[in-house]
Amino acid sequence: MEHARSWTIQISVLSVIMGGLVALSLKTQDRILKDQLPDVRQGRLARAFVELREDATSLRRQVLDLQKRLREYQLQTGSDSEKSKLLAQDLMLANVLAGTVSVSGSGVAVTLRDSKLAERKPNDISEADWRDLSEEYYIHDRDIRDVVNELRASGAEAISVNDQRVTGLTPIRCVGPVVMVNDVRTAGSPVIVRAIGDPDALLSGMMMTKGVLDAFRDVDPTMVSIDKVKSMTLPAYAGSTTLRYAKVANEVKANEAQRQSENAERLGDKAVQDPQSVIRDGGKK
Amino acid sequence: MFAPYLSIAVLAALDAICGGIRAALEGKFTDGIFITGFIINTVLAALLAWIGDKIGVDIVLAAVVMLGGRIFLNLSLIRRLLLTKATS
Repeated sequence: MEHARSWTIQISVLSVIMGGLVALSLKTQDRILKDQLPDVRQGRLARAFVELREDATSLRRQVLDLQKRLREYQLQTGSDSEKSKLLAQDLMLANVLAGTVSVSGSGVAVTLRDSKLAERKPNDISEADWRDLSEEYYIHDRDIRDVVNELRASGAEAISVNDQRVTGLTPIRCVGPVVMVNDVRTAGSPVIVRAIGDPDALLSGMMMTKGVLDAFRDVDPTMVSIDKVKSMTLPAYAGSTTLRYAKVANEVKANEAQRQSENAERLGDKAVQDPQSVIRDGGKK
Repeated sequence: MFAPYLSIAVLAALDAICGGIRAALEGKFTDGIFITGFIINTVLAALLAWIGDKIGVDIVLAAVVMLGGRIFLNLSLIRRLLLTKATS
């Protein structure tokens, strides 16, 4: 009898343990099901990615073709009468400003590249510290944006980053080691910014002390090179040009907006004369 | 992340219980063998699951199949033993 009790107790204890394990297992399974991403195989994802990229490339080419045809039509209508010729000229100017046509001219090419110093990690620095310290050896999207901004301030008329035309709505941002311009992935180093404009003015804008490239000159002068270019051609913007939200404002609203802008200008004047007033009034009046 | 190990432990426990009941019905139950059997089986199965995870082969299936087969075998033996006991 003693023996019989021994096995019932042991099996009971183990059954209780198993009950606990089953409960735990059910709970984790539940959590896994909740956390799990939809079942996507990497291979399928990769194939879809390649397909989409090819689609995107061919669509971009299509956009360029259509734009070219549109311009041919515009030119043809332009040759009809004096009035439509003027209209076509205006249109072409707008196209140049919008970046939807390829343009040629003189200017500068600014090349930004990651510093070679970034590869030489001193032995007495930990991996994490080096990541912080070597930040300044890499080209960041903000550097490219700064350069583009400065070029615009120096009178650039057309700008491209890594042969992607910069339009009024072009985002420039870093995603890992690549630079996205117009949502197209381009090399993160070297980054070549080309600008058409007065080469001397653009160059002096770039070389300005306390300017955008000053920091690089302190860190590693080889990160930046600026060349004047006699003649170069920037590509046209090949992305979508459909507008879904912006509409041309009617005259009343346009006048109102113009008044607001003039008002803002006056506030600016006031700020120059009396900088404290901006803080005091909060720019309300 | 411990989910496969947990399910293996559940199976091992179930197997140990079935085996224990069978041994008890046969009158061959031994304290040490019951508990160590459970523990060693669990550890071995977990080890297989871990190795399988590392080398990308589901070795854990071997443990699952083995334990599952033994559970069925033990259950059928228990059934037979109980039936013979009831009829006799």
